[in-house]
Amino acid sequence: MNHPSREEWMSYLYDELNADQSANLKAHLHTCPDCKSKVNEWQAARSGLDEWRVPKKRGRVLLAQPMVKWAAAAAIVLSIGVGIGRLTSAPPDVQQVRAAIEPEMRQELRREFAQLFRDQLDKSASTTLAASTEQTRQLLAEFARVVEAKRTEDYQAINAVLDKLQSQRLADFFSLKKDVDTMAVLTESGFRRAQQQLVQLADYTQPANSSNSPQH
Amino acid sequence: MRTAPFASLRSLFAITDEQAMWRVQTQDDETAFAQLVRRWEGPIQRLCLRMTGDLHRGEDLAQEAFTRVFAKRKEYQPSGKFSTWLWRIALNLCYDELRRRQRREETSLDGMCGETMAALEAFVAPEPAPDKSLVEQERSELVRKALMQLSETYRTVLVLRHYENLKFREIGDVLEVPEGTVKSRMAEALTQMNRILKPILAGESTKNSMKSDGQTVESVML
Repeated sequence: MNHPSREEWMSYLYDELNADQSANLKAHLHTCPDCKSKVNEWQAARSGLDEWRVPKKRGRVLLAQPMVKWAAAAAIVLSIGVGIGRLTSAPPDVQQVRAAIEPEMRQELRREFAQLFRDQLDKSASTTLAASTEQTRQLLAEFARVVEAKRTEDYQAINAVLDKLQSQRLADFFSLKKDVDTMAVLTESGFRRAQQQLVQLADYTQPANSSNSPQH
Repeated sequence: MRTAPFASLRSLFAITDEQAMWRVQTQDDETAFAQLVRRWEGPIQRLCLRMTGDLHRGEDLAQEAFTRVFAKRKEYQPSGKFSTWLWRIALNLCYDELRRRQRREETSLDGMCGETMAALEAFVAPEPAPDKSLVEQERSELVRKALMQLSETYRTVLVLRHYENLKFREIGDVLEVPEGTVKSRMAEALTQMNRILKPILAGESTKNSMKSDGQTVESVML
């Protein structure tokens, strides 16, 4: 028996065959349990797939901020070559646009709409660009400030340590000097006393000399 | 009788995708582009949602797809259908996203990585429709998870043919593979889907039929 290929069964299941072809395959199912069971399985899978329902459309997500968002993004993609990301922009006043256009259908209205959009586009694109540049500038300034502040902090810390060291050293120095001086003073006075004592001693050892004036 | 907003304006612009794209390419015509976006944002959002399993990420990707279409408008070749080009752009964005997720999971040092991802998956599950019963929501979620278990290759053909109703030949154009290849991938995808779903959905329905003793429950679609 000639069995239809599974490719043919797919066309059958998804209604891509003409009436004759379809009738032929259907007839085959009546006589072939193998094909029948396969087709049943595929059919069951299709029914299962139908149970995953999603909203037909999520509102006007893409046109909530009409065209401005994606067009500005596209402009930036082209000019900067950066990855596409979300942009925030002030939404144009949609109600105003609708009120202007809805009542009548005229060529002028069409042009008006296009022009209004163009204006919004220009405004939003440049605002977005300006905003991003400004933000970048601010970030850089902030970064520089932080780096500078850190550096100053370091300087101050180092200076403080140095100051401390210095004052410590000075303190040590003076303390030492004081000690030395004291010692010198003590030593000096010690010398003098010793000298005095020697002189006194010398006086005692010269009793014959009645005159105190020394002999030259 | 209030018609849809811009209905009158829209009829002025009832041009084909290719005509609109020509205006976008040659004149940067934003009105024509808006027309394309309005026409295709639904399908592209749905594609991105079903490929990534993530509602919000899907919306982001859809937005990116249109941004990219506008940015690359000069590259569009009028010899092909606009929608083919658009599907391809959106799909590639989805693949990039899935690859990013895979790398994040691979580089994660968390030993419970798989469970973490599963928990995250559950967290980012799409919001259920308010009018759907709890049972339907649960089953919907099961199918979503099942689809995420398929490889990208199979999920792609499933989503394009089953959910977005593209003909096999069109899918072949988008993916730049022969129509026969698309069909055999489809068969394999459905086979795997059946294998994954059969125990899950059967289990669910059994559970619910057991609950029905003396209680009012929503009837389960089998």
